[in-house]
Amino acid sequence: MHIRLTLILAIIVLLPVIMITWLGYQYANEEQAMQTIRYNRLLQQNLKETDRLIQSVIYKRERAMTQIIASRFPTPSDAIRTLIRGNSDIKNIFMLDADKQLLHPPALQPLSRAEQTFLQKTQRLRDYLTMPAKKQPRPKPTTADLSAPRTSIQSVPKKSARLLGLPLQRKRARLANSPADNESWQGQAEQGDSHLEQGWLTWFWERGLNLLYFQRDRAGNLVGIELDRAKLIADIIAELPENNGAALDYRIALLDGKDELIYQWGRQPRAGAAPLTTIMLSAPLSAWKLQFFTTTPEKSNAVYLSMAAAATAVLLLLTALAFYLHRESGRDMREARQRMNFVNQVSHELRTPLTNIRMYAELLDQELDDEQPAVRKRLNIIVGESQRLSRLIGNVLTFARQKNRRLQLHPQPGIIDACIENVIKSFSESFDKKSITIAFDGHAGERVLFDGDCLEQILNNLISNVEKYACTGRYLAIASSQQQDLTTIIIEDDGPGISKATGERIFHEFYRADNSLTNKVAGTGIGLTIARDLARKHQGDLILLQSAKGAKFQLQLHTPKVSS
Amino acid sequence: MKVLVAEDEDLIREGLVEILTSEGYQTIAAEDGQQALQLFDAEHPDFICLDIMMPGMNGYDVCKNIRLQNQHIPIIFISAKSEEIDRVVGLELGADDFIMKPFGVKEVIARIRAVTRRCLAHSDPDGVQQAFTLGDLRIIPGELRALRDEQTIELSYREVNILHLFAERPGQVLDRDTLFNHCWGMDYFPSSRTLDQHISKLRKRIEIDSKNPLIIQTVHGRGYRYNP
Repeated sequence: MHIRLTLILAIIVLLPVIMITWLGYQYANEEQAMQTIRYNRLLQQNLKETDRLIQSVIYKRERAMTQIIASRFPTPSDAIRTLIRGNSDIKNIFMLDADKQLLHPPALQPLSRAEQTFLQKTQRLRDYLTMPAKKQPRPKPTTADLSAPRTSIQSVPKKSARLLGLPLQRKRARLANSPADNESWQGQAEQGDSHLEQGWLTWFWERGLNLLYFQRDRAGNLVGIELDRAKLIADIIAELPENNGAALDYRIALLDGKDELIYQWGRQPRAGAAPLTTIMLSAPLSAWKLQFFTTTPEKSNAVYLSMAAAATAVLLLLTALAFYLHRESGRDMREARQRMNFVNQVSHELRTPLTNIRMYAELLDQELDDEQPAVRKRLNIIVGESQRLSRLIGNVLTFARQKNRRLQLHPQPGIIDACIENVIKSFSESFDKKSITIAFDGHAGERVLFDGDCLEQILNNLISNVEKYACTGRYLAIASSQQQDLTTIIIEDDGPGISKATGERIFHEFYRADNSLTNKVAGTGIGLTIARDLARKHQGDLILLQSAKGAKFQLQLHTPKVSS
Repeated sequence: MKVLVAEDEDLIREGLVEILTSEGYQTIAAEDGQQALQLFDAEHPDFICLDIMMPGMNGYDVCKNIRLQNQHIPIIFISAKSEEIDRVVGLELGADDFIMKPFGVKEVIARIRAVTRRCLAHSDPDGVQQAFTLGDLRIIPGELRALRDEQTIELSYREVNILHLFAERPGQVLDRDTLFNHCWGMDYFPSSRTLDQHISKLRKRIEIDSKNPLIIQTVHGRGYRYNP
């Protein structure tokens, strides 16, 4: 009992805790995933802000270059060289006339080393720009290209350069961002353009990405301006936040197409830390990338810790509750045991003097002569009363056992009618005294399995009620019958009977019908309760039948036949 | 037949001894379990009436000890402990019957007679104690019963002995001393009234008309006689 209770309490405690922990873990995982998504979105927004800053530099350059070209662009070459020398943003310029002939650097004049190199590295760009739009190939390095110096070209029309759509950027970045070799090129024209009028071209040459802005001037010449890479990077860095690392708990790094660091700001992350997120820059710098590093732990365990704390709190609460219930239950059981022990002890103490009273009265009766009827009568009263007291003690004990669920039956082979006759015999003296006639019609003479003590106690209680409440009828009829494994006993008297209003309540414990008759007679109100409980314990029942006169009870017991 | 009564309550012990003696048994009484074991070893009783709640050694332990020495001796537990489990434990330990306090004299007598029948059947498996007749009565000593036509008359151990003595000596007058010596024992000194009461009760049960007895006749001033 104790172990079962402990197990039940353990289950009551552990089941909710396990469920809470499991649900909490699921919730924490979901929450963690949602936080990661939200966090990455924030990081992407942060990096895109940085990308916009860089784009603003490119846009300024573009406006500057557009103004230079749109205004009266200087010719001849000397004037262009003066322009280059006077503008630190410009590294070199080429100019093609409407017939795609190179106007600058002049082919027939001596060229500086820088101009020679410039012509060399922009040769394929110029070919690309002067090619009819339909024939402009989708740039792809060939075997011949791999052996030759290569240029990676990416043309970015002006419109695209300003609007910076991300899918396009990525597509182009994939196309252009393969600078494993010193040079490679790729190019793409805007769809629908019959000819490229203005835009950006990027290409790799030697150490890194080069940027060229092209546009037709008023005379229809195509002007290509190569930006100074170092100056451009310096201007970009100037736009970006200062590298005061201690103030921030993250770091953003700007890397070129070869994953070489251009610039970074924010606190130094731990060694070997992987970037939380990476985005490619918008065109025309789509070969460059921005990376975000965090200096705080990558995953926050706050949700798991909260969950663990909640589960622990629930566990402690339920454990405390279970401990309290266990203690209370233990106390109840102890008290019930003490009560039961007390009842047992008291009944034991009562039985010993009762045995002496009854035994010595009966021994005395044996010594009596027939000439002493008055003494015998008194002795019979003593014996009868001691028997009544025995029945009362038996009822109290049975009631206590029933309450403690310790009442057990022990069926033994026997004859029902013999048991009934024994009970009738024990009442014969008192019934004679009250002039009550007992009529027994026995038809239960087969040997069956039943608990004799149980049947005696039921009959004792029923007949005792007749003796107490129905003696005015002066008649008690008992009839027994057997059918298969069922024994039926009818107990009927001619007394005042039980009113319909009282009905089933007579079987309720401590119930006593409130009338002048019961008020005169002492009783505990448990006799019929015990009788019905015992009958039901014996897989039968005790019911009150309708009767024209007096009370009529039907007792049925499950009594399996015993094979001879 | 010798019976050991072990009971710590003086009044109950004395009452039981009186009942058993009146039934014709020789009794030995013990006040506690230890004494019961000593008397069992010394007196070799034919069966035992044993209380459960006794000081020192309880009835269960006494029963266990006795069963180690003798598997067959009948043991009746007499106790106020009425829990079913007590009854089950007692029977499991090898008790033959269980009488619950408060008991009636008739109940004790009925159970003791049942045990005596088993004892007699065990000690006389071949039925050496043959049935005998007294008038129209047929007495079966092993069953403590007498039969007249279809009627069965329950007899005590002593009553069987008295009837057996009359059957052995038909026509002889049996004086009080002879009857006492044979049926009560040499060391028993009853009053003359005891014998008369006993014969009177026996007549009521075995005679058709106890006021005109045919089996046990009174020989005034000398004793009793059976005239076949």
